[in-house]
Amino acid sequence: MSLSPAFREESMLNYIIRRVVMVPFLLIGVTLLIFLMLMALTPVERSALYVRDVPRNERVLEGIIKKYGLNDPWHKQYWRWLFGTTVTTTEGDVTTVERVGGIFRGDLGYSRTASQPVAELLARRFPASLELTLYSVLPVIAGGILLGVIGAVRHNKPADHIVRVFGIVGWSFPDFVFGLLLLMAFYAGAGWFPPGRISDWANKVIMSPEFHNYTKLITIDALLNLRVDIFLDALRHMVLPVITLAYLWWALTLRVTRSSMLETLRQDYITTARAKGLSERTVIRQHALPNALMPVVTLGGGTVVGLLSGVVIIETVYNYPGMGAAAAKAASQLDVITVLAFVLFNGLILVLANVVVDILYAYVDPRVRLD
Amino acid sequence: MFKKLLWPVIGLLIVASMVLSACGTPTPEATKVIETKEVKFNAATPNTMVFVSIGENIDTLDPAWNYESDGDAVILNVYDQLVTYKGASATEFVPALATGWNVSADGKTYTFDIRKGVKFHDGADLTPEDVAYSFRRGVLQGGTNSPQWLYTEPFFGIGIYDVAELIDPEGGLDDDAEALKEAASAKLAEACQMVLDAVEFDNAAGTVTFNLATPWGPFLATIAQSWGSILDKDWAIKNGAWDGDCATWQNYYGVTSETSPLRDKVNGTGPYKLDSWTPGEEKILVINPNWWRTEPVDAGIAAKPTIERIVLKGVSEWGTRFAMLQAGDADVVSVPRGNISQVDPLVGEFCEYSLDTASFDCTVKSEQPLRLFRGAPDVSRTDVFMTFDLNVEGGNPYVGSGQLDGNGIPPDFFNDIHIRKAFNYCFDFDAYIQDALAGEAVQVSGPLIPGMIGYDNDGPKYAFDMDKCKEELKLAWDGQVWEKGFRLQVAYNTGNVTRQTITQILQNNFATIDGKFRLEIIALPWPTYLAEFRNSRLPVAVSGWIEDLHDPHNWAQPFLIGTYAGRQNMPKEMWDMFNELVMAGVAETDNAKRAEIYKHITQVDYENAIAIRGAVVTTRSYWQRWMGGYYYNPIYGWDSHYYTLTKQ
Repeated sequence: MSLSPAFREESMLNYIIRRVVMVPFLLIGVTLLIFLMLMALTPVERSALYVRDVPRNERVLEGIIKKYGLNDPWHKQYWRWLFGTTVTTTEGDVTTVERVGGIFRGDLGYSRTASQPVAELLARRFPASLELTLYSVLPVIAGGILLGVIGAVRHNKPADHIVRVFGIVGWSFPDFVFGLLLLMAFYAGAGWFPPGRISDWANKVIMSPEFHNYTKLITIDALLNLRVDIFLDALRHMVLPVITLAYLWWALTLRVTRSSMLETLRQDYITTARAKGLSERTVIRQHALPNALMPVVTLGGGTVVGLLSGVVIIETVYNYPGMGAAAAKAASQLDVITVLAFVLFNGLILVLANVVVDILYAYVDPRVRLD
Repeated sequence: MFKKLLWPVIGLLIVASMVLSACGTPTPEATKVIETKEVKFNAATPNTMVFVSIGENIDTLDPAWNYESDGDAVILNVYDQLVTYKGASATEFVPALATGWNVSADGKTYTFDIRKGVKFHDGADLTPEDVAYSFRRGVLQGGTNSPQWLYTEPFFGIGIYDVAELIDPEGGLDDDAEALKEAASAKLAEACQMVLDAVEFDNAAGTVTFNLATPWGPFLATIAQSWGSILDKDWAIKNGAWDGDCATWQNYYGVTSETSPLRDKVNGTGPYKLDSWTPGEEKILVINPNWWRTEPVDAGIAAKPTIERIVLKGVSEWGTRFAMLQAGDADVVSVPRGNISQVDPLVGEFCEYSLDTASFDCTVKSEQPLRLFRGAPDVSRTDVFMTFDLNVEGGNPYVGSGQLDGNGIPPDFFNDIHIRKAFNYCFDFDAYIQDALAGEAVQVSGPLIPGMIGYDNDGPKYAFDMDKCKEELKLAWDGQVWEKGFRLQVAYNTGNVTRQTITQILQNNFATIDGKFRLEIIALPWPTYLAEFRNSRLPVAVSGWIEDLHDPHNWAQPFLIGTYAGRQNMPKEMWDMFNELVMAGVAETDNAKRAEIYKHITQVDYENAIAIRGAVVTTRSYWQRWMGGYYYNPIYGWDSHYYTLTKQ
């Protein structure tokens, strides 16, 4: 039974509202869980975040524990993270008390490991990850699909074998080593593709008052400022990260696409299409591929979430200032405030990506219902 | 067309991937091919210098709060201090923002003449009031985790670590901003007045006077550091720092590095201005063409900056830093000791450090593009600490059975000097220097480091001697140790390979004597390690110290009466003995007399075998050969004053 367009739209809307309403509860639950896990450490252990080496005098650790309230009951500390704390100011006989901080007051706190407010950290790092995602997602997903289709269509022929070997090598190649080899060859050797996000000369231009940062995506801002040289420089810095990501992640997409295509090509309706005299290209493109893409949509959603959350190894090797390296550093140094902010942010991205993927399902396959 | 090209491209990629796979991980051998065939070195940007370190870890740019070398790299170049070191000398000072100074006969009053005509980066004039404000504000801002304790001790007396202790000497108010605000206003005003009295100024006379509670040998060394930087009072107040009024100082007390209003704002008088700071990524400095200095701090050193732009970049991955060095995009990079074999083939000029002349002697050996500076002693050291009286409250997992039964140790195991001496004799210093420090280190004598007042190159030190180790073990605990053996755990913090190697050397040597002398190595995460060490729960801990000041007090104090003595739970009579000696050393202002006191301290430290004193690493630094103008002063290390450098 087919559903009317009006009914489909209504059920989709209900679905989206339900998912969005669930988001805050989900995120609070996750942060509470992480918070409680970290509270299992003693206050002295948690104070290590603030001490990079041996304390310089005997009072340091007590001072830190007191200053940051690390000895307070867990619920008090969690409450402080949610709603902030009060600060008293006295001037003569006048005393004023004000509440500062708290995520419900729009303050994500201060990141000790990044030496800046968490909001500033996210505002700087997320555009970098988003930009890398924008330029990676097409090569990563489309390249994987293309190779998967070739493998399936040329099943058990030399092309299929080559694609499979190619995928296996990519999947098994340590990304760290692959990235470094590319860097040595194409940067240290040839001098073509440097690490980082932008060259120093271009950075000087970007930081100048004449350059307007509309989106914080350097390539787009460069075009909006009519600076093709900066656009090309930013692209130059993304070449190696994109190649590395693409090569290493193609394997997964091509394997999923290939097996899904093989299954689809065995379906009766494909045989019927061929029997009707349709060209093989039409059969593949118009009949087989759309149906084979369902699992690839799921995979694509995960890929985008992974890219947006940051890819630690890629960011480390290419010194690319994305989300992943900052999150990893925070986690390794028990920077509770920063870890919680990343959990919130990544959780939000994950939930939104799942909603988008589910909606895409409904459009790709009319049999899928969201109610 | 596309179809025709597709297969060759895929084929090529596969072949390329196979070749790359065969290369494996980037070993030195694999890198050598690239070095010899592909690398090009061009000084493409002579006006910009790029330093690439292991990470960008600045906590704050507030000079009163900064306590990290990363922050120093910026602060020492954008701010000036009253005095500075005379070039490479680690013991002589020359005027900076002060044109001269006088010290009273009792060593408790320092009066500085403040330089006229100096301008801050924003164009304001420097005054003696700015100087006094900078010190007063720092002390009143407080913070036991800030460097201000280096002032509160000379200003108010030994053992005062924070301004809040002027109100509550027990330290109950330390770092507790809200509790301090509740203190009686008379007490608050009195504390503030003490700070004002400690640092006085006279704008008309152009002087600033420091009134110390006690004579303080390292006072000039203290104010020559980044925490002696001079701020513009009006600018600081405008940006939210203390308003200069004793009625309000409590509102500015106990800020954290994140809430300090000057965390990311800079306005100094130095040779460079801060252009930008991107936390976690880089700092950029630009030249200050109006810098006041006209005379060099020492002969042969430039007086004015010439490089227009300094980029201080943090890149955590070694391979990336190495690639930047090869590409010529980095002028200097941090090279981990484990990777020196990759870089050494690129060195064409070798500069060896001489302790006698405190300078480098350079020899050109090939056309390779790098210059290597090596042999200069570092200002940090790793030692092995034995806890005299272990904390076993609530159980202690590091002491086995907790008894001298061959399966553990009693809490006061290391109270016996023979055990401490046995550990010293059983430690193979040469193996340590070879295995952990690539053969580039010097075993020290006592708690000080070479090149310092009172350090004696021929002073007493333990040598590896298994026979003596056995003798001491036989004497320990009236022979019970030799009869029954022991079992304990030796801890280091996870990931620290140097400390791990030290524990392995000890473990192997004791096991060689007899299997009943069991040392079990345990790696603890940094937070746990810190907590356990602090609570005196680790029988043996390996830890290090980086100096704040290049002065013997900064080594004698933490090792004999301060941080480490506390963790070792030193017996009171021993602590009292060292306290008397250390206090005599810091109060002496005559360098010759100080030297004698510290030599005596070294002797006593040796006789009591307080710890296994390790070795000071001799450093290496790799620079592009187009760089010039560098001099090495141990207190600044490689994060030097950039104004002396040149780039061709």
